[in-house]
Formats: sequence, structure tokens, C-alpha cells
Amino acid sequence: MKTPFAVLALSALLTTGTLAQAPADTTISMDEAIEQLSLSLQELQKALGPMAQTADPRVETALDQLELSYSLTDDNTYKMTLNVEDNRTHLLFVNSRTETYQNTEIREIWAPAYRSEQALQPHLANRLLKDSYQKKIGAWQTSQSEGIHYLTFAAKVPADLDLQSLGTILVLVVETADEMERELSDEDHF
Amino acid sequence: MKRLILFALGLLAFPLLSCSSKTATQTLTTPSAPQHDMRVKTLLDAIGTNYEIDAEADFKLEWEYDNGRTQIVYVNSNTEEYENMEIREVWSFAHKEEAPLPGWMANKLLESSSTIKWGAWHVMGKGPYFVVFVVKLEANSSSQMLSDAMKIVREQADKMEIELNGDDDY
Repeated sequence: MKTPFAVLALSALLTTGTLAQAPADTTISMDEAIEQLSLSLQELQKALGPMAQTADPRVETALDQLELSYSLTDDNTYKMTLNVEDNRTHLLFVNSRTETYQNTEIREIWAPAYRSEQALQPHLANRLLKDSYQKKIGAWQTSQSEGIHYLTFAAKVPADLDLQSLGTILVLVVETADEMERELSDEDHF
Repeated sequence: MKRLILFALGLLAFPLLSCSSKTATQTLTTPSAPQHDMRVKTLLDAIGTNYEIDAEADFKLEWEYDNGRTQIVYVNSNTEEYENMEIREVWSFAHKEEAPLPGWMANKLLESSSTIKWGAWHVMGKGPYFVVFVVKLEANSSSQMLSDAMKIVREQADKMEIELNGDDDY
């Protein structure tokens, strides 16, 4: 049986590189890095709206079938850390909370790319809106929490999306967000 | 992009044909017109809505609201393939600027995208710049999903058009 692209790509993301950099290559301690990341995530979750009451078992089943490791955030969002190019890692989220518009149930799959204390510069905001137009799937969006502006790349997809398409979109979202993070900050914050 | 490639192939084909043997019968072929997607036609006919097919083979639907405002929604015939997926855009114009959007407007649109259940704001063009609301959905989506997509697209685009300039250009 032919292995779907998304499964191969996700396997590569999970098995290449390492989650942690060598201590000599880091400028802050691991504890400090974890604390900073945890604070950022709390702010980001606040910015992203109401919490889901329970974790969506449909997501759990799909992620298990894709053999992805995940944890649940306080608002029952599925959170993964995937390895991407150049020994970098990137966070990826799949919401348990879905939105229903008329008869269509939509789930958001998203990854943060950048954070700023100010609104985005006009040239950057324009560039992101134009970039969204070029993307076959997904788009850039921002949200605010406690004065911090977060840029995320999000795909809003049917909640019952098939497994192969879900895998494809997970790869697309995480890679797109990491590319932008690298371009805008040259850091690996997310 | 697909349209640009077809156009370029047409331009390349023309001199090749005209330089062929003088004794041979010369046939002038022009690039074929884009074909509309029959899958969309079938769905729209099932929904029972009126539409036109424009020169680019996209489906154009105009809605008239009770307040007299109208909004035009496009359903693309052209689809994009990404790995195992085939994606179609459903979209609508909301605003036009001759220059890049002012910072407040561009930031407002990015933030608005994060609060809308489905779809997002995009900017197309290199001057003038068009603000469009877009839903990207699987090409083989059901008539119900297409109908829902068209509804959210026209609602969001018309709402933003009112907010940004109060006109009813689209």
C-alpha cells in the first residue's frame, strides 16, 4: 500500500533533528526557555477565545492514526511540537472547539509565527494579506492578548476532514508558520 | 497562474504554426477559452440559484438584500491542487485601494480573520489593491457546504464594504 505523503512528511518532522539544542548553542537556560514559552502560550490561548469544554475524540483518533505525539492545553486544544527544517521545532495546534456556520462544522488548525508588542508594520500586514491570496490552503491572521499581537497561520477546515487531508494540512500549516517565523525574527520561539 | 501559462502557450504556438511549410494547409488555432467546471454548475443548479459564467469561466452570483444592497460572489472553476487535495475558492470583493492598504486597515483585516468562523481576508492585485473575502474549500464539497460558503462570503464582504467605505460597489 502506498504510504500517503502526509504520513511520510509527518514521520520526517517527528524523527529528524532533536527537540533541544545543545546547551552551548542556547543563550538562556532550558528552565527559562520553558517558562517563557509557557507564558507565551497562556497569552496566546487567551487571545484565541473561549475554551472547549472537552477534548474532541475525533481529533485524538486522527492524531493517533497519524502516530503523532500530542498533549492537551488548558482549553483542550491538541498541541504538538514538530521538528522542521534545520533542526528547528515548531508548535502546532488543532482545536477541539469547532464552529458551526449554518450546516458546516469548522475546525481550526493553526501555528503561531510571530509576536509583537505593537500592531504589525503596514508593509508587513499588507504582505501577509497578499501572501494569503497566494496560498492554496490557509491564511494569515492576528489576535491580541494583554497588549501582545500574535501572528498565526490558520487553516479552517471541515471538522470531519479525512485523515489523509488532515495530515497534509498539518504539514502545510506548521511549515508555513515556521518559514515565516524564521524570516521575521530568525528565532525559534514557537 | 494557469491562465497566464495558457496565454503564454498560445503566444508560442502562433509563430510555430505560421512558420510551417508554405505548401501545407495552414490552420490558425487560438488558445481555447477556459471551460467552466461542470461540478459547480451541477451544484448551483441543485441549490436552485441564479448565476452567470464570466469570461474566465468563473461562476458569478449576485445577491440582493432586503435593504437594497447587492453583493457579488464568485465560485472559481479553476481549482488548485495541493498533494492529495483539490481546492476551490469562493470569494467576493469588499474594497479597493489605489495604494497598499493603510496600516490600520491591513491590521484590522488580519485581526478580523481570526474572529470569523470560516474564511479569511486576502488582498489581490499589485495596484489597485482589492480586499477580498475568501473561503477555500475542497473542490468536491457538497452543495450544502458550497451554499454555506457562498453565504458567509457574501455576508462578510458586504459587511466589510459598509464598514470601510459605506458604498455598494460590489
